[in-house]
Amino acid sequence: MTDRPTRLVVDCSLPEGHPDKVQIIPLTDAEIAEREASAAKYAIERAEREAAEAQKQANKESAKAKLEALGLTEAEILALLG
Amino acid sequence: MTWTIIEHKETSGTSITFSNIPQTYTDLVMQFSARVNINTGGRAGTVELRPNGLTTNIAGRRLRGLGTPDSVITQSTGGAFELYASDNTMSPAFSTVTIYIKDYKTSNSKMFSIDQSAEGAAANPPMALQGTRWNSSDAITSLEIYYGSSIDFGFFTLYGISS
Repeated sequence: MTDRPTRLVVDCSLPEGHPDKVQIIPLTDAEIAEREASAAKYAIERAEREAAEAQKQANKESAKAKLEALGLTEAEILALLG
Repeated sequence: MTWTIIEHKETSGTSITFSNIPQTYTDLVMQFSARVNINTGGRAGTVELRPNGLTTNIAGRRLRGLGTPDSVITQSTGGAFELYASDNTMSPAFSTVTIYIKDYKTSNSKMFSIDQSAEGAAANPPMALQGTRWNSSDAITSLEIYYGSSIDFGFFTLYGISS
């Protein structure tokens, strides 16, 4: 059995030592579901972004190799690719 | 300009919320240092800003430096930003973050300027700058930082800035 996740709430309007100043509140089932969905969404977004970055880098290296084969110098290729 | 500590707390659970934020300052600053659990998300853990507990009408753009490749990332939805650890292999590692919230009571959009860097042990210690906008006319009265299992533990300080 795993412990139910919690969230920490700090009430800035209450003085230190007040019993309600800091509360540790267990997440509801709805909150857990919402947060898991949110985390999954960001994980997918990040995976898609990283795949796109990897493809872009691969395209760049492929283009560089083809330009080298055409006889361009390293400096000329860098001037083109940035 | 005067900085006043409103609260300073250590994390517990999956998120920290500062509620009933005083409406007497000009700007707010949230600073935190946290041990990032990169096992849960590859090289970085995801953290989400939730002004007034909300996840809507918020988006940002991040300039990220990881060595190879550096990149500009558009966060199409949500208030998330990534916490970077020292490199792709060192776990866990500490990351420090400053979030400057200018004019948090305005009825115009609220801007979050997020500046973060990670432990400097790696050859290319990562860092990132992010601008996030919350499109709401409401003043910020509470601020939740949702980190799930991305943070093992950390220390959060909320400042009020008086001009």
